[in-house]
Amino acid sequence: MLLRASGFPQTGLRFLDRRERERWTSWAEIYQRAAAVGGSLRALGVEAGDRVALVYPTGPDFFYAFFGILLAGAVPVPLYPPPRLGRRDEYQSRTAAMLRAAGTRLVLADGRLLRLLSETVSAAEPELGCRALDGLPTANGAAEVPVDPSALALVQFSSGTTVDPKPVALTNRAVVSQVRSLNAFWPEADNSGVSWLPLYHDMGLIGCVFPALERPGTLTLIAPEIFASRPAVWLRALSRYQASISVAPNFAYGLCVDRIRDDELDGVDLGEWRIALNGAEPVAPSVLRAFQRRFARWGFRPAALTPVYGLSEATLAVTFSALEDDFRSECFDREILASEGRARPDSAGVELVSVGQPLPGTEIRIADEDGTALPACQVGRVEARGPSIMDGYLGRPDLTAAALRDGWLDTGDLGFVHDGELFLTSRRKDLVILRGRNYLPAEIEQAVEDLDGVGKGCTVAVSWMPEGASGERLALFVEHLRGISPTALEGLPAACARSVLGRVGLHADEVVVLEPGTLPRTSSGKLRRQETLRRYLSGELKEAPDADAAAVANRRGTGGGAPLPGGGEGWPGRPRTEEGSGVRGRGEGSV
Amino acid sequence: MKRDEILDVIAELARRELGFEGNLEPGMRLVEDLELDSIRLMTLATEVEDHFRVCLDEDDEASIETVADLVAVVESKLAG
Repeated sequence: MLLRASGFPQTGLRFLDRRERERWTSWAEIYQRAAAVGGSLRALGVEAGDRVALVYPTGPDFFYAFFGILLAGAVPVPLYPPPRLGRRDEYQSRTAAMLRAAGTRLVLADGRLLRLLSETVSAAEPELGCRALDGLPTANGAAEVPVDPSALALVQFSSGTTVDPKPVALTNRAVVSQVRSLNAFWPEADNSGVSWLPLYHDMGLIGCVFPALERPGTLTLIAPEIFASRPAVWLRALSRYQASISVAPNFAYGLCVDRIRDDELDGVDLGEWRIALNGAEPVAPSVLRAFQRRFARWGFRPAALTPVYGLSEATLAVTFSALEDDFRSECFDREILASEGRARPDSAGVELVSVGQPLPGTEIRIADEDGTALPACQVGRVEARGPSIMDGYLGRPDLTAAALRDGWLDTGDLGFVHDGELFLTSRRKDLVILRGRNYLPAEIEQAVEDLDGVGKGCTVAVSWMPEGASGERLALFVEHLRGISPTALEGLPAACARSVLGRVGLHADEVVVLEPGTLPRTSSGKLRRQETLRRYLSGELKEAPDADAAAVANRRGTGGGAPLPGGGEGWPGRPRTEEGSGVRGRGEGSV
Repeated sequence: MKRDEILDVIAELARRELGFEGNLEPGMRLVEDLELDSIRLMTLATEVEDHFRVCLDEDDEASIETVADLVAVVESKLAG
């Protein structure tokens, strides 16, 4: 693909820095530089099939390294660069765990990260160490290894964690088939996009970069940290390059509504933006409407918003809603949905957004616990089958067997099909999804379990989308140890929240302290997280009496120091819209 | 630029961009006391770099835990 794209010198990648200055790299240049890197990797002893991790911020070097690894016949494993100003020890142990899980033989990294990574790398011991591109041996010739469709194209992690990382192994065939069906889905004429998504994230790399390469077209890239601190840069870039397509998770649309000031959009015209994909986390109808209303003044087309659904185990996308129509939402009877698992339209019911129909070549079905297909409007496991489904988890046949049955991937999500379209209701898998990123609950629970007054295996972390909310909420359920002092008990919610903030960088929206032995467990003693949430939302979970006052729905007031206003989403700037602020309190459950 | 001037500017950035209310004290820790999550830390870093026209590298950032640490790094960058 890269070789073919390099025949189109007008196409390539454009990088914007934080002053919105351009740096242009054509596909042809990327190919040349990558081939040289590939040659050097071969000279270093990298062999076909070796996993090579790469740690780079958004920039040309990422692509020289990424494609260089591919051209050497090796398998790239993109990992995320360290968080800014954040704690490094968590990052280090997480990265080391991922390096080990992927069986990495070499790490390529930005020169500025080498020192930081040296500790991590020595813990994971990749055979060929950690190097920057300019630290590679010079090679006699450029590399070009024939592509084997069934060979691994890349390894991506479905969630980053110290506990049990799941490396998803994707073949060239799966990736190419995904990219082709994405491009077939998007209008032929539209060949310019903008993305600020991280390159270690499937939606950024496979959803944005690869389609541009396959077309070939031009993509404008913005580093994720620039978007996070200045979301207006995203919309200005879309206007400046008259881009027609861009994709972001739900939270990003909310961030734009909250943080962008009108004066930052002088002269901006969003009329060319025809496809605004919304995926990687549950889609909130209130956020979609707030975005449409707010940016209509700058020509934003309401029909551009397109909710989508996918997961890294399916390479990326599974379903897409119709491109040319406004997003579709329906209301369903709350009671029947919750008690019978059946979707019955009811205009006074709970509003759910359709994530559309399967991509061409992909099938979905709703199945019960035994794997039997269910009829329309019945809630069950969402399963997917098609050419882009992963081969399995690398080196983890146990996990693979649990996820794949007769070619059907159990997504771990629950939902139903109504009028031929998929609606998601909740998750069966234990996965915390915040801001488009996945976290295994254990990662968050560990941060709590190390505190005094809390025992091992006595904490549950879950996130869910409350009805009418603008995004998922994170709740911690913590059993205190017997004999804990009243003072310690009182301070426990704040201590839990601080530890999670410090170690994982996440705000807990709710911390609920429980008596020992209250959390639901299986007969073998494993925590039942989804059951914990269900009991909590239905009011069946009894909080520890003494901690009741401290366990507040919005725990910021107890956090000490100088709390920021609002919940985890309350950015200053413009007031939130009525719908956008619809974060409900406890007990107003998901469906 | 003097330390307290740098502190004032950072306090203003925190107020404007992060919605921080109250007095920003040098001893406050960014995560535990200001309760900055990863996205707000990112915002603070970018705003500080933009405003002072400095570039914080990995080694600088690894040493920053409190507001005073951040002020000291900015001060040395501006001097050097």
